[in-house]
Amino acid sequence: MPTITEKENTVLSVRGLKKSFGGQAILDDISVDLKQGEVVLLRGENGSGKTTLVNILTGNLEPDKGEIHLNFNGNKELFSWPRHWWKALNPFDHFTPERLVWEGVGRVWQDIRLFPTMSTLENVMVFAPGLRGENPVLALISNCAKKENRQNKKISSEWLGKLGLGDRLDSSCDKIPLGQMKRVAIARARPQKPWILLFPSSSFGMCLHRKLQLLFSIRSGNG
Amino acid sequence: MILQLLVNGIITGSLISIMAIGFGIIYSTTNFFHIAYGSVYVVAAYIMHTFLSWHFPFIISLAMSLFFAVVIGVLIELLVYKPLHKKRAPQGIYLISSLGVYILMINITALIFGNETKLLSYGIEKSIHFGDVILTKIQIAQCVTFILLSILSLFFMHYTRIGKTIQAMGCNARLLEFCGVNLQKLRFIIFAIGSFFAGVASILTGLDVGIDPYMGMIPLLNAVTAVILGGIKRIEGIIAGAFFIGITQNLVIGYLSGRWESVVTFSMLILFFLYQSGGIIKVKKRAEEL
Repeated sequence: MPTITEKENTVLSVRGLKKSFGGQAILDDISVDLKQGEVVLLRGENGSGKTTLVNILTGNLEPDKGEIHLNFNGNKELFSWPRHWWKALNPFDHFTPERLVWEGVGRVWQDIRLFPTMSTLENVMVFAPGLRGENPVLALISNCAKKENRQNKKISSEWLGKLGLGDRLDSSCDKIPLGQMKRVAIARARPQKPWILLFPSSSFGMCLHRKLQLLFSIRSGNG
Repeated sequence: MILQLLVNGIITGSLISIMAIGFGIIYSTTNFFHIAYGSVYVVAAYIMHTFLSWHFPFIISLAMSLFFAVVIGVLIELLVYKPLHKKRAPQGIYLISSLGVYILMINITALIFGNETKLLSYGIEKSIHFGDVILTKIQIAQCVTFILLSILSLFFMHYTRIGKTIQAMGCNARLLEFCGVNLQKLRFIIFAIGSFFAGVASILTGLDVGIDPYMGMIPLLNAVTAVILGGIKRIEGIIAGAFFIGITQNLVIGYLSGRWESVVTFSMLILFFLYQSGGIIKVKKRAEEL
Protein backbone atom coordinates (compact mmCIF):
# COMPACT_ATOMS: atom_id res chain seq x y z
CA MET A 1 0.00 0.00 0.00
CA PRO A 2 1.55 3.36 -0.96
CA THR A 3 1.94 5.66 2.04
CA ILE A 4 0.73 9.25 2.14
CA THR A 5 3.25 11.83 1.12
CA GLU A 6 2.33 15.34 2.11
CA LYS A 7 1.67 17.65 -0.81
CA GLU A 8 0.94 21.31 -0.73
CA ASN A 9 -2.76 22.24 -0.57
CA THR A 10 -3.87 18.62 -0.21
CA VAL A 11 -6.73 18.62 2.28
CA LEU A 12 -7.70 14.96 2.03
CA SER A 13 -5.59 11.92 1.18
CA VAL A 14 -6.94 8.41 1.15
CA ARG A 15 -4.70 5.38 0.64
CA GLY A 16 -5.49 1.70 0.17
CA LEU A 17 -9.07 1.95 1.38
CA LYS A 18 -10.86 -1.39 1.53
CA LYS A 19 -14.43 -2.15 2.55
CA SER A 20 -16.37 -5.41 2.30
CA PHE A 21 -19.95 -6.27 3.17
CA GLY A 22 -20.60 -9.93 3.93
CA GLY A 23 -17.32 -10.99 2.32
CA GLN A 24 -18.01 -9.07 -0.92
CA ALA A 25 -15.45 -6.34 -1.54
CA ILE A 26 -17.19 -3.05 -2.37
CA LEU A 27 -14.09 -0.88 -2.26
CA ASP A 28 -10.66 -2.34 -2.89
CA ASP A 29 -7.42 -0.35 -2.67
CA ILE A 30 -8.99 3.06 -3.27
CA SER A 31 -6.69 6.09 -3.21
CA VAL A 32 -7.90 9.69 -3.49
CA ASP A 33 -6.23 13.10 -3.19
CA LEU A 34 -8.30 16.28 -2.87
CA LYS A 35 -6.69 19.71 -3.06
CA GLN A 36 -8.00 22.94 -1.63
CA GLY A 37 -10.38 24.71 -4.04
CA GLU A 38 -10.87 21.66 -6.25
CA VAL A 39 -14.30 20.54 -7.45
CA VAL A 40 -14.12 16.81 -8.14
CA LEU A 41 -16.74 14.59 -9.77
CA LEU A 42 -16.95 10.95 -8.72
CA ARG A 43 -18.71 8.81 -11.33
CA GLY A 44 -19.59 5.13 -11.36
CA GLU A 45 -22.20 2.48 -12.07
CA ASN A 46 -25.00 1.81 -9.63
CA GLY A 47 -23.62 -0.30 -6.80
CA SER A 48 -19.99 0.55 -7.61
CA GLY A 49 -19.42 1.94 -4.10
CA LYS A 50 -19.70 5.74 -4.52
CA THR A 51 -22.01 6.15 -1.54
CA THR A 52 -19.97 3.68 0.51
CA LEU A 53 -16.87 5.83 -0.10
CA VAL A 54 -18.78 8.98 0.92
CA ASN A 55 -20.12 7.17 3.99
CA ILE A 56 -16.56 6.30 5.00
CA LEU A 57 -15.25 9.82 4.35
CA THR A 58 -18.00 11.25 6.60
CA GLY A 59 -17.48 8.77 9.44
CA ASN A 60 -20.74 6.92 8.83
CA LEU A 61 -18.86 3.67 8.15
CA GLU A 62 -15.41 2.46 9.13
CA PRO A 63 -13.25 0.82 6.42
CA ASP A 64 -11.66 -2.59 6.94
CA LYS A 65 -8.25 -1.34 5.87
CA GLY A 66 -6.54 1.85 4.71
CA GLU A 67 -5.58 5.35 5.78
CA ILE A 68 -7.40 8.70 5.76
CA HIS A 69 -5.33 11.81 6.21
CA LEU A 70 -6.98 15.19 6.78
CA ASN A 71 -5.08 18.45 6.57
CA PHE A 72 -7.29 21.46 7.22
CA ASN A 73 -5.58 24.78 7.83
CA GLY A 74 -2.45 23.10 9.20
CA ASN A 75 -4.51 20.88 11.52
CA LYS A 76 -3.43 17.35 10.57
CA GLU A 77 -5.29 14.18 11.47
CA LEU A 78 -4.49 10.60 10.49
CA PHE A 79 -6.93 7.70 10.79
CA SER A 80 -5.70 4.22 9.90
CA TRP A 81 -7.27 0.76 9.80
CA PRO A 82 -7.24 -1.89 11.10
CA ARG A 83 -7.49 0.09 14.37
CA HIS A 84 -5.37 -1.01 17.30
CA TRP A 85 -7.30 -2.06 20.39
CA TRP A 86 -5.83 0.73 22.54
CA LYS A 87 -7.17 3.34 20.14
CA ALA A 88 -10.70 2.04 20.80
CA LEU A 89 -10.16 2.80 24.50
CA ASN A 90 -9.41 6.47 23.84
CA PRO A 91 -12.75 8.32 24.02
CA PHE A 92 -11.31 11.33 22.17
CA ASP A 93 -10.00 9.42 19.16
CA HIS A 94 -13.11 7.84 17.69
CA PHE A 95 -13.87 7.92 13.99
CA THR A 96 -17.42 9.25 14.16
CA PRO A 97 -19.57 11.55 11.98
CA GLU A 98 -19.56 14.12 14.78
CA ARG A 99 -15.74 14.12 14.94
CA LEU A 100 -15.41 14.54 11.17
CA VAL A 101 -17.84 17.46 11.18
CA TRP A 102 -15.63 19.12 13.77
CA GLU A 103 -12.56 18.35 11.62
CA GLY A 104 -14.24 20.05 8.63
CA VAL A 105 -16.00 17.40 6.52
CA GLY A 106 -19.53 18.37 5.48
CA ARG A 107 -22.10 16.28 3.70
CA VAL A 108 -25.37 16.55 1.82
CA TRP A 109 -27.52 13.45 1.36
CA GLN A 110 -28.73 11.81 -1.81
CA ASP A 111 -32.22 11.49 -0.32
CA ILE A 112 -33.88 14.24 1.72
CA ARG A 113 -33.06 14.12 5.40
CA LEU A 114 -34.53 17.08 7.23
CA PHE A 115 -35.93 17.62 10.70
CA PRO A 116 -39.54 17.58 9.45
CA THR A 117 -41.34 19.42 12.25
CA MET A 118 -38.84 22.31 12.30
CA SER A 119 -38.73 25.36 10.04
CA THR A 120 -36.29 25.70 7.15
CA LEU A 121 -34.30 28.29 9.12
CA GLU A 122 -34.13 26.08 12.22
CA ASN A 123 -32.97 23.17 10.07
CA VAL A 124 -30.02 25.22 8.84
CA MET A 125 -29.28 26.75 12.26
CA VAL A 126 -29.04 23.36 13.98
CA PHE A 127 -26.18 22.45 11.64
CA ALA A 128 -23.77 25.00 13.12
CA PRO A 129 -21.53 23.05 15.51
CA GLY A 130 -19.71 24.23 18.63
CA LEU A 131 -21.90 27.13 19.76
CA ARG A 132 -21.99 28.09 23.43
CA GLY A 133 -25.75 27.63 23.47
CA GLU A 134 -25.27 23.85 23.39
CA ASN A 135 -24.65 24.09 27.13
CA PRO A 136 -28.11 24.24 28.80
CA VAL A 137 -27.00 26.66 31.53
CA LEU A 138 -25.18 29.03 29.16
CA ALA A 139 -28.15 28.84 26.76
CA LEU A 140 -30.34 30.40 29.46
CA ILE A 141 -28.00 32.95 31.04
CA SER A 142 -25.08 33.77 28.73
CA ASN A 143 -25.29 36.86 26.54
CA CYS A 144 -22.48 35.47 24.35
CA ALA A 145 -24.60 32.38 23.64
CA LYS A 146 -27.55 34.58 22.67
CA LYS A 147 -25.30 36.76 20.48
CA GLU A 148 -23.86 33.67 18.76
CA ASN A 149 -27.40 32.40 18.21
CA ARG A 150 -28.40 35.70 16.55
CA GLN A 151 -25.28 35.59 14.35
CA ASN A 152 -26.04 32.00 13.37
CA LYS A 153 -29.61 33.02 12.51
CA LYS A 154 -28.34 35.84 10.31
CA ILE A 155 -25.85 33.64 8.42
CA SER A 156 -28.39 30.85 7.98
CA SER A 157 -31.06 33.29 6.69
CA GLU A 158 -28.59 34.82 4.21
CA TRP A 159 -27.55 31.44 2.91
CA LEU A 160 -31.16 30.27 2.53
CA GLY A 161 -31.82 33.55 0.69
CA LYS A 162 -28.97 32.80 -1.72
CA LEU A 163 -30.63 29.49 -2.58
CA GLY A 164 -33.93 31.24 -3.25
CA LEU A 165 -35.61 30.34 0.05
CA GLY A 166 -35.58 33.82 1.61
CA ASP A 167 -39.38 33.89 1.75
CA ARG A 168 -39.59 30.38 3.23
CA LEU A 169 -37.57 30.88 6.42
CA ASP A 170 -40.46 30.09 8.78
CA SER A 171 -42.09 27.38 6.67
CA SER A 172 -42.21 23.98 8.30
CA CYS A 173 -39.98 21.56 6.43
CA ASP A 174 -42.76 18.99 6.10
CA LYS A 175 -44.94 21.45 4.20
CA ILE A 176 -42.62 22.73 1.45
CA PRO A 177 -42.24 21.23 -2.04
CA LEU A 178 -39.63 18.52 -2.58
CA GLY A 179 -37.33 20.76 -4.66
CA GLN A 180 -37.21 23.31 -1.81
CA MET A 181 -36.53 20.53 0.71
CA LYS A 182 -33.53 19.60 -1.42
CA ARG A 183 -32.24 23.18 -1.28
CA VAL A 184 -32.69 23.32 2.52
CA ALA A 185 -30.66 20.11 2.76
CA ILE A 186 -27.90 21.75 0.69
CA ALA A 187 -28.08 25.04 2.63
CA ARG A 188 -27.45 23.17 5.90
CA ALA A 189 -23.90 22.38 4.90
CA ARG A 190 -22.99 26.09 4.99
CA PRO A 191 -23.04 26.92 8.75
CA GLN A 192 -20.56 24.09 9.38
CA LYS A 193 -17.98 25.98 7.26
CA PRO A 194 -16.59 22.68 5.95
CA TRP A 195 -13.23 22.30 4.25
CA ILE A 196 -14.60 19.44 2.19
CA LEU A 197 -18.23 19.25 1.11
CA LEU A 198 -19.54 15.98 -0.32
CA PHE A 199 -22.65 16.08 -2.52
CA PRO A 200 -23.72 12.53 -3.44
CA SER A 201 -26.23 13.10 -6.32
CA SER A 202 -27.72 15.90 -4.26
CA SER A 203 -28.94 18.00 -7.15
CA PHE A 204 -31.10 15.11 -8.41
CA GLY A 205 -34.70 16.36 -8.67
CA MET A 206 -33.71 20.04 -8.97
CA CYS A 207 -34.45 22.12 -12.07
CA LEU A 208 -31.57 23.02 -14.42
CA HIS A 209 -31.58 26.66 -13.28
CA ARG A 210 -31.12 25.63 -9.62
CA LYS A 211 -28.48 23.04 -10.52
CA LEU A 212 -26.43 25.70 -12.33
CA GLN A 213 -26.95 28.19 -9.48
CA LEU A 214 -25.75 25.58 -7.01
CA LEU A 215 -22.66 24.71 -9.08
CA PHE A 216 -21.70 28.38 -9.47
CA SER A 217 -22.19 29.00 -5.74
CA ILE A 218 -19.89 26.11 -4.87
CA ARG A 219 -17.29 27.08 -7.47
CA SER A 220 -17.24 30.74 -6.44
CA GLY A 221 -16.60 29.81 -2.83
CA ASN A 222 -20.04 30.82 -1.61
CA GLY A 223 -20.87 27.16 -1.25
CA MET B 1 -68.52 22.66 44.50
CA ILE B 2 -67.80 22.64 40.78
CA LEU B 3 -65.43 25.59 41.22
CA GLN B 4 -63.50 23.80 43.99
CA LEU B 5 -63.28 20.67 41.82
CA LEU B 6 -61.98 22.70 38.87
CA VAL B 7 -59.36 24.39 41.05
CA ASN B 8 -58.34 21.00 42.47
CA GLY B 9 -58.14 19.78 38.86
CA ILE B 10 -55.84 22.67 37.95
CA ILE B 11 -53.56 21.87 40.91
CA THR B 12 -53.47 18.16 40.01
CA GLY B 13 -52.87 19.18 36.38
CA SER B 14 -49.94 21.38 37.47
CA LEU B 15 -48.25 18.47 39.24
CA ILE B 16 -48.92 16.08 36.34
CA SER B 17 -47.55 18.77 33.95
CA ILE B 18 -44.25 19.10 35.82
CA MET B 19 -43.81 15.32 35.82
CA ALA B 20 -44.98 14.99 32.20
CA ILE B 21 -42.74 17.74 30.78
CA GLY B 22 -39.67 15.91 32.12
CA PHE B 23 -40.95 12.55 30.92
CA GLY B 24 -41.95 14.04 27.55
CA ILE B 25 -38.49 15.53 26.91
CA ILE B 26 -36.93 12.10 27.50
CA TYR B 27 -39.59 10.14 25.61
CA SER B 28 -39.71 12.43 22.58
CA THR B 29 -35.95 12.18 22.05
CA THR B 30 -35.11 8.60 23.06
CA ASN B 31 -38.42 7.01 21.95
CA PHE B 32 -38.71 4.56 24.82
CA PHE B 33 -40.71 4.48 28.05
CA HIS B 34 -38.31 5.47 30.83
CA ILE B 35 -40.22 3.68 33.61
CA ALA B 36 -37.28 4.15 35.98
CA TYR B 37 -38.35 7.83 35.90
CA GLY B 38 -40.84 6.81 38.61
CA SER B 39 -37.97 5.62 40.81
CA VAL B 40 -36.09 8.94 40.35
CA TYR B 41 -39.32 10.58 41.58
CA VAL B 42 -39.36 8.38 44.70
CA VAL B 43 -35.66 8.62 45.52
CA ALA B 44 -35.67 12.43 45.20
CA ALA B 45 -38.39 12.63 47.87
CA TYR B 46 -36.47 10.29 50.21
CA ILE B 47 -33.25 12.28 49.79
CA MET B 48 -35.22 15.40 50.76
CA HIS B 49 -36.58 13.53 53.79
CA THR B 50 -33.09 12.35 54.78
CA PHE B 51 -31.58 15.85 54.65
CA LEU B 52 -34.53 17.30 56.56
CA SER B 53 -34.15 14.59 59.22
CA TRP B 54 -30.47 15.57 59.55
CA HIS B 55 -31.76 19.09 60.35
CA PHE B 56 -30.44 20.72 57.21
CA PRO B 57 -32.32 23.89 56.25
CA PHE B 58 -35.23 23.38 53.85
CA ILE B 59 -33.55 25.14 50.93
CA ILE B 60 -30.35 23.07 51.19
CA SER B 61 -32.37 19.84 51.49
CA LEU B 62 -34.31 20.89 48.39
CA ALA B 63 -31.14 21.69 46.44
CA MET B 64 -29.47 18.41 47.45
CA SER B 65 -32.60 16.44 46.57
CA LEU B 66 -32.76 17.98 43.09
CA PHE B 67 -29.02 17.53 42.62
CA PHE B 68 -29.21 13.82 43.49
CA ALA B 69 -32.31 13.38 41.30
CA VAL B 70 -30.26 14.70 38.36
CA VAL B 71 -27.28 12.50 39.29
CA ILE B 72 -29.46 9.37 39.55
CA GLY B 73 -31.14 10.13 36.22
CA VAL B 74 -27.77 10.53 34.50
CA LEU B 75 -26.39 7.39 36.19
CA ILE B 76 -29.35 5.33 34.91
CA GLU B 77 -28.56 6.57 31.39
CA LEU B 78 -24.83 5.90 31.84
CA LEU B 79 -25.06 2.44 33.40
CA VAL B 80 -28.19 1.00 31.78
CA TYR B 81 -29.34 2.80 28.65
CA LYS B 82 -25.95 3.77 27.20
CA PRO B 83 -24.73 0.14 26.88
CA LEU B 84 -28.11 -0.78 25.35
CA HIS B 85 -27.88 2.18 22.96
CA LYS B 86 -24.39 1.06 21.89
CA LYS B 87 -25.73 -2.41 21.11
CA ARG B 88 -28.68 -0.86 19.21
CA ALA B 89 -31.08 -2.81 21.43
CA PRO B 90 -34.78 -2.90 20.42
CA GLN B 91 -37.34 -0.77 22.32
CA GLY B 92 -38.66 -3.80 24.23
CA ILE B 93 -35.27 -4.38 25.86
CA TYR B 94 -35.16 -0.75 27.05
CA LEU B 95 -38.66 -1.11 28.50
CA ILE B 96 -37.84 -4.30 30.44
CA SER B 97 -34.49 -2.91 31.65
CA SER B 98 -36.17 0.29 32.75
CA LEU B 99 -38.83 -1.67 34.63
CA GLY B 100 -36.03 -3.70 36.26
CA VAL B 101 -34.27 -0.52 37.40
CA TYR B 102 -37.57 0.83 38.76
CA ILE B 103 -38.26 -2.34 40.80
CA LEU B 104 -34.65 -2.49 42.05
CA MET B 105 -34.58 1.14 43.20
CA ILE B 106 -38.02 1.01 44.81
CA ASN B 107 -37.10 -2.11 46.76
CA ILE B 108 -33.77 -0.67 47.89
CA THR B 109 -35.62 2.46 49.04
CA ALA B 110 -38.20 0.34 50.92
CA LEU B 111 -35.39 -1.71 52.47
CA ILE B 112 -33.55 1.37 53.76
CA PHE B 113 -36.47 3.60 54.77
CA GLY B 114 -39.31 1.13 55.38
CA ASN B 115 -42.73 0.85 53.75
CA GLU B 116 -44.66 3.27 55.92
CA THR B 117 -45.64 6.78 54.80
CA LYS B 118 -43.28 9.54 55.93
CA LEU B 119 -43.90 13.26 56.06
CA LEU B 120 -41.80 16.06 54.56
CA SER B 121 -43.68 18.80 56.41
CA TYR B 122 -45.32 18.46 59.82
CA GLY B 123 -48.38 20.21 61.22
CA ILE B 124 -51.64 21.22 59.60
CA GLU B 125 -51.34 23.44 56.53
CA LYS B 126 -53.09 26.74 56.96
CA SER B 127 -55.86 27.05 54.40
CA ILE B 128 -56.63 30.20 52.44
CA HIS B 129 -60.19 31.01 51.36
CA PHE B 130 -60.95 32.60 47.99
CA GLY B 131 -64.75 32.87 48.15
CA ASP B 132 -66.00 29.28 48.02
CA VAL B 133 -62.62 27.91 47.02
CA ILE B 134 -60.19 26.65 49.67
CA LEU B 135 -56.47 26.33 48.95
CA THR B 136 -53.45 25.43 51.07
CA LYS B 137 -50.08 27.19 50.84
CA ILE B 138 -48.43 24.14 49.32
CA GLN B 139 -51.14 23.97 46.63
CA ILE B 140 -50.41 27.60 45.74
CA ALA B 141 -46.68 26.74 45.68
CA GLN B 142 -47.44 23.84 43.31
CA CYS B 143 -49.27 26.16 40.90
CA VAL B 144 -46.62 28.89 41.06
CA THR B 145 -43.80 26.35 40.50
CA PHE B 146 -45.69 24.91 37.54
CA ILE B 147 -46.12 28.37 35.97
CA LEU B 148 -42.43 29.22 36.43
CA LEU B 149 -41.18 25.85 35.15
CA SER B 150 -43.51 25.78 32.17
CA ILE B 151 -42.46 29.31 31.09
CA LEU B 152 -38.81 28.31 31.53
CA SER B 153 -39.20 25.06 29.60
CA LEU B 154 -41.14 26.72 26.76
CA PHE B 155 -38.45 29.42 26.48
CA PHE B 156 -35.74 26.76 26.69
CA MET B 157 -37.24 24.57 23.97
CA HIS B 158 -38.29 27.32 21.56
CA TYR B 159 -35.67 30.06 21.94
CA THR B 160 -32.38 28.42 22.86
CA ARG B 161 -29.83 26.59 20.78
CA ILE B 162 -29.90 23.48 23.01
CA GLY B 163 -33.72 23.43 22.94
CA LYS B 164 -33.71 23.36 19.15
CA THR B 165 -31.06 20.62 19.20
CA ILE B 166 -33.26 18.55 21.54
CA GLN B 167 -36.23 19.07 19.19
CA ALA B 168 -34.05 18.01 16.26
CA MET B 169 -33.02 14.88 18.15
CA GLY B 170 -36.69 14.00 18.49
CA CYS B 171 -37.01 14.21 14.69
CA ASN B 172 -33.87 12.32 13.67
CA ALA B 173 -31.13 11.52 16.18
CA ARG B 174 -28.81 9.90 13.62
CA LEU B 175 -28.86 12.99 11.42
CA LEU B 176 -27.90 15.14 14.39
CA GLU B 177 -24.50 13.41 14.56
CA PHE B 178 -23.78 14.97 11.17
CA CYS B 179 -24.44 18.40 12.69
CA GLY B 180 -21.38 17.83 14.90
CA VAL B 181 -23.50 17.15 17.98
CA ASN B 182 -22.22 14.66 20.54
CA LEU B 183 -25.34 12.50 20.91
CA GLN B 184 -24.21 10.85 24.13
CA LYS B 185 -23.57 14.20 25.82
CA LEU B 186 -26.98 15.41 24.64
CA ARG B 187 -28.63 12.29 26.09
CA PHE B 188 -27.00 13.01 29.46
CA ILE B 189 -28.35 16.58 29.33
CA ILE B 190 -31.84 15.30 28.46
CA PHE B 191 -31.86 12.80 31.32
CA ALA B 192 -30.57 15.49 33.69
CA ILE B 193 -33.36 17.91 32.71
CA GLY B 194 -36.04 15.20 32.88
CA SER B 195 -34.86 13.99 36.29
CA PHE B 196 -34.83 17.57 37.60
CA PHE B 197 -38.54 17.86 36.72
CA ALA B 198 -39.26 14.49 38.41
CA GLY B 199 -37.48 15.74 41.54
CA VAL B 200 -39.51 18.96 41.65
CA ALA B 201 -42.83 17.11 41.16
CA SER B 202 -41.87 14.59 43.82
CA ILE B 203 -41.02 17.18 46.47
CA LEU B 204 -44.14 19.25 45.77
CA THR B 205 -46.29 16.13 46.14
CA GLY B 206 -44.37 14.90 49.19
CA LEU B 207 -44.81 18.21 50.99
CA ASP B 208 -48.57 17.93 50.45
CA VAL B 209 -49.44 14.27 51.04
CA GLY B 210 -46.25 12.60 52.39
CA ILE B 211 -44.03 9.98 50.77
CA ASP B 212 -43.83 6.20 50.51
CA PRO B 213 -41.67 3.95 48.32
CA TYR B 214 -44.57 3.08 45.99
CA MET B 215 -45.68 6.64 45.30
CA GLY B 216 -43.96 6.79 41.87
CA MET B 217 -46.08 4.57 39.64
CA ILE B 218 -49.37 6.54 39.55
CA PRO B 219 -47.70 9.92 38.77
CA LEU B 220 -45.60 8.15 36.14
CA LEU B 221 -48.70 6.64 34.48
CA ASN B 222 -50.46 10.01 34.65
CA ALA B 223 -47.41 11.63 33.02
CA VAL B 224 -47.31 8.97 30.29
CA THR B 225 -51.03 9.50 29.65
CA ALA B 226 -50.59 13.30 29.54
CA VAL B 227 -47.74 12.97 27.04
CA ILE B 228 -49.76 10.66 24.77
CA LEU B 229 -52.99 12.67 25.14
CA GLY B 230 -51.31 16.00 24.58
CA GLY B 231 -48.93 15.08 21.78
CA ILE B 232 -45.36 13.97 22.21
CA LYS B 233 -43.58 16.65 20.24
CA ARG B 234 -44.77 19.86 21.93
CA ILE B 235 -44.61 21.01 25.53
CA GLU B 236 -47.83 23.03 25.03
CA GLY B 237 -49.57 19.76 24.13
CA ILE B 238 -48.15 17.94 27.15
CA ILE B 239 -49.42 20.72 29.46
CA ALA B 240 -52.85 20.61 27.79
CA GLY B 241 -52.94 16.83 28.22
CA ALA B 242 -51.94 17.09 31.89
CA PHE B 243 -54.67 19.65 32.66
CA PHE B 244 -57.23 17.58 30.78
CA ILE B 245 -56.39 14.58 32.99
CA GLY B 246 -56.18 16.61 36.21
CA ILE B 247 -59.56 18.27 35.73
CA THR B 248 -61.26 15.05 34.51
CA GLN B 249 -59.91 13.07 37.48
CA ASN B 250 -61.19 15.64 39.98
CA LEU B 251 -64.61 15.85 38.33
CA VAL B 252 -64.82 12.04 38.46
CA ILE B 253 -63.84 12.05 42.15
CA GLY B 254 -66.42 14.77 42.86
CA TYR B 255 -69.37 13.39 40.94
CA LEU B 256 -68.71 9.62 40.76
CA SER B 257 -66.15 8.05 43.10
CA GLY B 258 -62.40 8.02 43.75
CA ARG B 259 -62.41 4.40 42.54
CA TRP B 260 -63.28 5.53 39.01
CA GLU B 261 -60.42 8.03 38.75
CA SER B 262 -57.89 5.67 37.11
CA VAL B 263 -60.57 3.88 35.06
CA VAL B 264 -61.59 7.14 33.37
CA THR B 265 -57.96 8.26 32.86
CA PHE B 266 -56.87 5.08 31.15
CA SER B 267 -60.11 4.77 29.17
CA MET B 268 -59.28 8.19 27.73
CA LEU B 269 -55.79 6.91 26.91
CA ILE B 270 -57.25 3.97 24.95
CA LEU B 271 -59.72 6.26 23.13
CA PHE B 272 -56.90 8.64 22.16
CA PHE B 273 -54.79 5.74 20.92
CA LEU B 274 -57.71 4.60 18.77
CA TYR B 275 -59.04 7.90 17.42
CA GLN B 276 -56.47 10.69 17.99
CA SER B 277 -53.09 8.97 18.09
CA GLY B 278 -51.12 12.17 17.50
CA GLY B 279 -52.51 13.79 20.65
CA ILE B 280 -54.43 17.04 21.23
CA ILE B 281 -51.72 19.11 19.51
CA LYS B 282 -50.82 17.01 16.51
CA VAL B 283 -47.70 17.48 14.37
CA LYS B 284 -48.81 16.81 10.80
CA LYS B 285 -46.68 14.84 8.41
CA ARG B 286 -46.42 14.86 4.64
CA ALA B 287 -47.82 11.89 2.76
CA GLU B 288 -44.26 10.70 1.91
CA GLU B 289 -43.44 10.18 5.58
CA LEU B 290 -46.58 8.28 6.58
